[in-house]
Amino acid sequence: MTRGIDVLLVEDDEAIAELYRARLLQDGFRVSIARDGEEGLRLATSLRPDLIYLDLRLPKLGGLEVLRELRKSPAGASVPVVILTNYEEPELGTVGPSLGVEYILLKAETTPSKLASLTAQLT
Amino acid sequence: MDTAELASVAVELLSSTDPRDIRARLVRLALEEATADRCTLTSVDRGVFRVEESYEPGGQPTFVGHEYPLSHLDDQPLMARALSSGEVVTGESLATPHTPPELAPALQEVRHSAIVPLHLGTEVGAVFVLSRKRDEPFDPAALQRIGEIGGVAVLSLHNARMLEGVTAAQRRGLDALALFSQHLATSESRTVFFGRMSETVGGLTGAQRVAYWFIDGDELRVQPEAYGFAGVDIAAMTMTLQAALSAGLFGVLYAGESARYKRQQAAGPDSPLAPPFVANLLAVPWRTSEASLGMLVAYDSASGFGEQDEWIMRLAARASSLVLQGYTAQQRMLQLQADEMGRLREHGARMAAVDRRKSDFLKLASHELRGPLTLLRGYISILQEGTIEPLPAKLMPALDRMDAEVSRMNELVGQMLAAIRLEHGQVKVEAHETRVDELVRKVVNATDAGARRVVVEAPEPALAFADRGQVETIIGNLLSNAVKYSPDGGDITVAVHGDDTAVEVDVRDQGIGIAADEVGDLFRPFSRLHAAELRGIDGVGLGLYLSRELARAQDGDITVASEAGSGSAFTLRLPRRRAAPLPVAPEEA
Repeated sequence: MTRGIDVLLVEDDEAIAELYRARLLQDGFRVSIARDGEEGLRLATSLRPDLIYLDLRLPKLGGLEVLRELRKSPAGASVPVVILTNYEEPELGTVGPSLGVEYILLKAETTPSKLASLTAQLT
Repeated sequence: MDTAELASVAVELLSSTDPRDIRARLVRLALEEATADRCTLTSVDRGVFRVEESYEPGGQPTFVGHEYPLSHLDDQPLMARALSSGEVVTGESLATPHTPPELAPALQEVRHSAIVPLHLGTEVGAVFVLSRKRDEPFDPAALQRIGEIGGVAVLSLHNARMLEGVTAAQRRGLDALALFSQHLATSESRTVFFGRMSETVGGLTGAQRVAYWFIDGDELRVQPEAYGFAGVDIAAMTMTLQAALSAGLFGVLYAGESARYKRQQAAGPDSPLAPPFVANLLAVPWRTSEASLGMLVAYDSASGFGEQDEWIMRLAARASSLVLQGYTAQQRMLQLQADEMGRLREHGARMAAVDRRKSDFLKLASHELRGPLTLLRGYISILQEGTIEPLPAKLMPALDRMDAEVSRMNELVGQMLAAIRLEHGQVKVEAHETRVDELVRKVVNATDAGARRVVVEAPEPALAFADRGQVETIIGNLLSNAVKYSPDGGDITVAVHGDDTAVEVDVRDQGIGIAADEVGDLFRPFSRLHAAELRGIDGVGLGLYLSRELARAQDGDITVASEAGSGSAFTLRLPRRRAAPLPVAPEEA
């Protein structure tokens, strides 16, 4: 059952990325993984995914920076972005909405199946 | 005048303390007795002649005050003879090339003159100078009598002058004290104080220059705020201690003695102590009770330096050393204070840095812990869901247990982070009108109370002014505690009620309760009940601490009522909407 939906997962932790990817693939989504902020920004603009899950603490370029840059480009201005992180940044409450973030999720409280149902919901 | 008259005049004169009065009477008396046309009284004092009083018939005795030095005697043979012989001397003219112009015309008319020395003991203290315009010599007997009265008169004059001198000295002394005290009280800095002191000493002693010499290592140097040294390079005025001692200054510097120098005695022609322009000087010791600071030196007084001057200078030196000690003590105090403040600040900064490092580390560690927790949680859920492969039913309880544990770990990590944030003031309260009763119901519904019954008593809407999320957290914590600490079951009641000022939420359980001696520590971080440990109830001990901090941040509080073995009741108190805002002042028309 291919749905033709592209999901970009920007996550530097291999094991966690694999955990989520496996479940999303199982549910028929196409999954790309970026291991750092720069790669994330590149893939976001070139792949034009339907949904981006964005971690905050990334090598090379931080998650919020990636988001800011993404929103500047026409390609990335409107793609749905969910922040998926284990770090609580106090500014997220205000910055997030201003950058068009749909949800802010704590990885430690997001099981693969939860992520899969959210993905289905948003795409 | 006969003897009796003489005696009464003498008594009268002796009893007068006013030198002016004495002089005036004397010249009058002398003139009348000698039937002269003019009489002047000239005093002889320390090599200086002073024409004091002058009197002519028909006028008033007038004070002249003209001074001339001894050297002028060379032109005055009569005077010179009178002084050296101590006898009455008569002659004709008195005019000399040195005669002051105002007296010259009068002297041209003089036909006869007489000089009557007045004795003070063996010395001649004063002389009468009598003159006659008419060509008639003076009666020697009259001159003799005048000499006798004069002797008495000079004594009283001397006494009066001494008294005057003492009074003047007293006055000077009092002036000195007053001025020094004023300087002590008002000088805002050492520099100003020493400058003023030097100037005042100069004024009081008549010195042209005053300097404080201070001992600096093995040198003596002059305090920059010296008086009267304009145009002189003070910095260059130094001498080695060695040289000073060789110059005989040991007494001044170390033995509390004074030293007077006249030009010819000054320590060597090039001695900086007495630079070439100095004619005379007086040096007094300048010391504290423990050590010698140096000396105070006054230079060039026209009238020389007397005992009074020495007294004044010693007083000035004393005042200065007190000030110096004071300033030094004050500076030491200020330095001590500054050092202490510095140490305290350093300590504070170090502590703050340690604190920050600790919390940075804790924050990092907590976040890092979430990584593994994410994976554990994720894989457990996959196993539970059986999506990879269905698992035997008997493994499910194990998985459930694992899930619960991981959840708890998650909760603890969250609590630790919240505690750190609280401690660093990073928690913001966004208070709004909040339906507490609704929140209670929401939390109760979301809480797994196991087999226990949870009763909600919230018959009416309860509005409080608080941060919704934080209130939810608090109630959740109290409720989960109630569940945790009644391991043997029992009912849990959550009651919402309130009064005009506040809303209260009581969470009651029938669990293990809290011993009296543990109530005090209950809300402290990381405190745990003994009984809880014994019963294997898990927890880190942060929940109540966090809850109370959050409650207080909303201007509320959490209190507890409990007894060991018979359950606990925790009460969350939240303020209602503040009283109506103050009326706004009416706008200016």
